[in-house]
Amino acid sequence: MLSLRINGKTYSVDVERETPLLWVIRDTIGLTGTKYGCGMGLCGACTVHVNGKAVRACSQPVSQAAGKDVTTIEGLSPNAQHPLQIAWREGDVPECGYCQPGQIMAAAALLAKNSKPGDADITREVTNLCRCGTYPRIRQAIHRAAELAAKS
Amino acid sequence: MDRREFIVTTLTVGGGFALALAFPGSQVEGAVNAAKIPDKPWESLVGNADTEINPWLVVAPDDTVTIRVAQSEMGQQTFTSWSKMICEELECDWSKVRAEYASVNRHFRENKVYRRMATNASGAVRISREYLQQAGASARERLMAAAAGEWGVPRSELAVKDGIITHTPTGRKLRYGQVAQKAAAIKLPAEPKIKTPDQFTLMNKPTPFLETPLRVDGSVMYGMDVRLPGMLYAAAKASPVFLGKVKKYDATAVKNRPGVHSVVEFGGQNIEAGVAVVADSYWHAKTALDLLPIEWDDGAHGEDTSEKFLRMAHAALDEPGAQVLVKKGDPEAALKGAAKVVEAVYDVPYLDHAFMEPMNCTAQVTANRVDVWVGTQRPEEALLDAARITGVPQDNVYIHNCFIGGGFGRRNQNDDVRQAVAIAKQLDRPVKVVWSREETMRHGYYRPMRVARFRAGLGPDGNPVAWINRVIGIDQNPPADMRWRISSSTFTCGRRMFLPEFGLRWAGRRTSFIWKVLWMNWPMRPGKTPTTTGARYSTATAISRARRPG
Repeated sequence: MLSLRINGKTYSVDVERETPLLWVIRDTIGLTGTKYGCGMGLCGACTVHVNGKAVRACSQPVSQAAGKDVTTIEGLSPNAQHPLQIAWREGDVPECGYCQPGQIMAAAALLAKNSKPGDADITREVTNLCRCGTYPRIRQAIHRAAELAAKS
Repeated sequence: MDRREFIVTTLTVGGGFALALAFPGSQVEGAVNAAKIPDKPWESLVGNADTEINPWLVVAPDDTVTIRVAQSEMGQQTFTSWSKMICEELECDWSKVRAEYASVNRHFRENKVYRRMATNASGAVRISREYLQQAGASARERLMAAAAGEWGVPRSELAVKDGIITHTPTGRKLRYGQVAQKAAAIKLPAEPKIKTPDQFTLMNKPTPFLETPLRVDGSVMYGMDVRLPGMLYAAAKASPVFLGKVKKYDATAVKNRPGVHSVVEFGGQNIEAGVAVVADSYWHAKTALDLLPIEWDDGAHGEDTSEKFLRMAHAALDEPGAQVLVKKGDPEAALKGAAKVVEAVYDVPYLDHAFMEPMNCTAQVTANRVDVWVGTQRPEEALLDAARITGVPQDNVYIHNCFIGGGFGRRNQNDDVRQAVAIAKQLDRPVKVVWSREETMRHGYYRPMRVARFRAGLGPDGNPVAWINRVIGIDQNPPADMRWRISSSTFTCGRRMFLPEFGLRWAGRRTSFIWKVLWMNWPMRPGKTPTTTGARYSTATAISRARRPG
């Protein structure tokens, strides 16, 4: 049995220690906002926060997250009111939307350490793939979210 | 509200930070979280007290309008566009509009009531706009007729805005929600005319997408996210060579692995033969499948490779006997007389659609009912396939369409549906079949490979005087048995992008090669020089430009 703290709730899970965190979050706990895209840490659709850092959950054994704080898209903010989520809605960023929880989580980790990221910071830190090609809107929305957070 | 009132809370967690900001009651945000679309997209929002005016729309007593969307949502914001096309005519309150998927099962039971559920050919708006406007206009007129009947006044004395009907001479008002039940029983003597684009008041304005709120908090379910009570998970591996067969596999090698339920073989009509491991979680299924010894019979195509096809295509650039499809003037002579000749050969490989959501399908098969949860571009064929494979009557087959994490045409094929139904048929519980990313790529329906040579003759002023173009496509190798596998997308691309008679020639040929050649003299018009540079889509672009008259 492993003890996991996800979105502030504690879960006891009976899984092998090497199981990727992604599948524990999705299949064992049932939070499906965190997506499976490639299983190799390449696309970023599975991005969650572990102790505030963006982590690709498909390539992280669950044992490494035990005892730490895991945040998924469902727990990013109460009522989906994180500045990024507001900016995302304002800009109608998603197309198919499948990669967007990961994009938002990667951007949230960036904003948490850099409240006013420049384009170069976004390029370096938010490396998630989007097949629909929403990159320009993602970038705009991150800038907009930084602005919203600064005004608050 | 003033942005300064935003409440900011920063949660310190472990060694890092999670930034959590709350913006209560922000104006822009008014009611964003109200359910405009069910987060399980296959579920209905319609309540018992609501009234269906026609199959496309339902009016609730509180004037909420629910639009039935008969196209799949994969990023085009179809729920929004369909709602707008109907509400353009309905004249209801846009802020009270919500949308849900139309039922595929009903579509068949009621003689294809939704007309066209296949979501392809860039048609969700282009093909359906007029009949959706008609559905909205028709519903509006029935609601108006109901109000006119209620007051005993002629229709001509009524006006409507935002779902509120006014009797202009007296100022009396009725809401759509109040007359919906009566309207549902009304038959119009004649269908109303629909608006022309110059009369649009809703479709011509940008509105926030109904879909977006569900996509920024992880709540909306894609096929991959379906969870059912008692559900099993399957990891599937189909023959790595197209149309290969399973020779043997050793289920005992994995049956004691954690969580493994069973090992299931699948195959049949239009199903690539293969094996799936069924387990209590996808991870258990996948790791066991990776360890499962499977021997394949590669069949006729074991020696085929993309590299081989590419070499064959390049070699064919200089072979005689290519079919001339278009010829205008005498380009060869013009080329000989040109001041300068430029030549370029481009090739594009087979390309996977490479959407973000790997292929998946959830199915439950019982003796008299089949349920399938899947993101598909062709829910109609999904239903017919599921009925055929199980022998269950169509009326008892339910396709629960999901949001789709990218389709791009690939999800027209329903090979995932056929495979999942074939697997579920062997189980007594629902099963979610998931293809790994690798499996999804390996079993794509690829955009076809093409090799194209462009030759242009330039005159003394640098403008082209001749353009000779040869395109080689290897679409079928060899005969029709690969048609369903590689060629369905090839066919569409070829027909649409190259030449209209392409389909006919292709269907009748049984050689390995398809030859397509385009010759023409580019008309000499300053400022209209075609752009033939750029790698990937140069062939299609150049040809579609070339085909434009003048």
